[in-house]
Amino acid sequence: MTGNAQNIEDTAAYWVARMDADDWGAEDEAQLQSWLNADPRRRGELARTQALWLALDRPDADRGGDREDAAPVYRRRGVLAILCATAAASLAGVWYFDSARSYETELGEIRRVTLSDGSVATINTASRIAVHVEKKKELIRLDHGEAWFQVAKRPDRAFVVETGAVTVRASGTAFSVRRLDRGSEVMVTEGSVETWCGSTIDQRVFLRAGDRAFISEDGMIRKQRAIAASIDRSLAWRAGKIVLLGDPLDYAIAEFNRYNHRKLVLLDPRIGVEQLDGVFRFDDVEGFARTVGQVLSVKVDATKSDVVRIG
Amino acid sequence: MQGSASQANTKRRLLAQWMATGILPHEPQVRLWLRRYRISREDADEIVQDAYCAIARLDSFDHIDRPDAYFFAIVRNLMLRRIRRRRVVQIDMVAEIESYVDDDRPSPEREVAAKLDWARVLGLIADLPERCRQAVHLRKVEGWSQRRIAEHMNITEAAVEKQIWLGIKALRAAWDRGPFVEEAASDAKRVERRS
Repeated sequence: MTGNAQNIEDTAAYWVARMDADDWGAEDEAQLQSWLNADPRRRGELARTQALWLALDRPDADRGGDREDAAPVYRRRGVLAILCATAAASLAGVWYFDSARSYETELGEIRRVTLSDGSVATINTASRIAVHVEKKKELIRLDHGEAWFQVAKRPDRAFVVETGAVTVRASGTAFSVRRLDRGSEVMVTEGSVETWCGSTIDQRVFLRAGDRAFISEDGMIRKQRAIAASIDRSLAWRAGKIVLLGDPLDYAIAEFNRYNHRKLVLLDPRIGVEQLDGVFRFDDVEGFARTVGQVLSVKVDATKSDVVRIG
Repeated sequence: MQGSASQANTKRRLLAQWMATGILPHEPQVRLWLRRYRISREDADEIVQDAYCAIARLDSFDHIDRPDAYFFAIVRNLMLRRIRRRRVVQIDMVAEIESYVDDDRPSPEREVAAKLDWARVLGLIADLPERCRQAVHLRKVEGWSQRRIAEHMNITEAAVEKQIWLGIKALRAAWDRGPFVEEAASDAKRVERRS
């Protein structure tokens, strides 16, 4: 490190200490500006040093005691408070209603968001959820698509997902909800959930890890004890994959088309029942089509940019 | 004039505060990443410095959803520019960096990096020379103002400011020695092994 750089660092540290004191004035500001303007590197050095100094503050929000520094500090805390509003509100147990904070994914996009109670929502392709933080629960509305929830263990708070007429209630578990045309599919990967349709909460069904159920909009619940591996497979999208294990080609094509603008089209419907095995990246439409072409000895036309024809 | 000075100071402080939570904790990850491309320590220092310069020039930062991804993007561009300027360019390296798409999703590594390890910070403070340690501890851990620290330690405010200055220099040097980078490296290994 050159003497000059060392000098810049030391002077930056000096200014950070000066700004940290209680009596910043016009003269300080003028001197600092003239120091900054003499060399473009100085601004970055100052910002980095000041950021490091501020990063060393004790992490808890309310320090009590002696924080009645000058007004600017209060303002700084004000802004911070807004930035962390969600987290702080749930920590302090303050009633806080974040009117429909929503998260949406594009086709082929998967997004993970951490919710204010510490739960994590992993949102699949072309989906939208809206999150309401209420006094005693997180209320998630799944408007369309699919999401997998890892619910934080919070005995004082419930975690409720609503999709159409279907409700799923959980605490401290992991499960996915997918909204389909005439109902919703729920898969539980950890712990247990309760689910019901409309206001028929007294007819709710309990699902444990490894269960999957289809709840139709008219209240029919079809419960299946699935093997864990099949659920892992259904949720392979979390790793950007489609896993096929003896699944029909029709199903595989529908899966790929969920994630991609470039659609797979089956020209010969008779081969739709052919069973396939394999692990594919869900954006590798052409790779999948070529594999199918080889395995089933059918033609694949990938000359168009918006569609790949099979058969 | 007094008002505009404190306004400028507040603005600077808000940016630094945002960087303290959104940018700085990811610096070890960024350095680790540069190291993977066999960028020398000196070059890495300069790239990181240039990135901070670019960020310090931001007029507003509200529009940046993912500061960490933004930080990576700036560093990536600076790195490419630097490699291209070299007389002998390793083509495959440029291609590799160009094709690198920052994964915007939070990863276990990113989540670990999102916060400075407070226990480690306390350790760094504890290692300072006594008077300096006392002043920094009261300022950072107890949250006292410099003025109150001066009264408590029975020294002038200028003397407290001097101790704080020494403290900042020492802590900065400790940060630059990069124990956090080593930690990030071992975290990364642990994550890789698990998956």
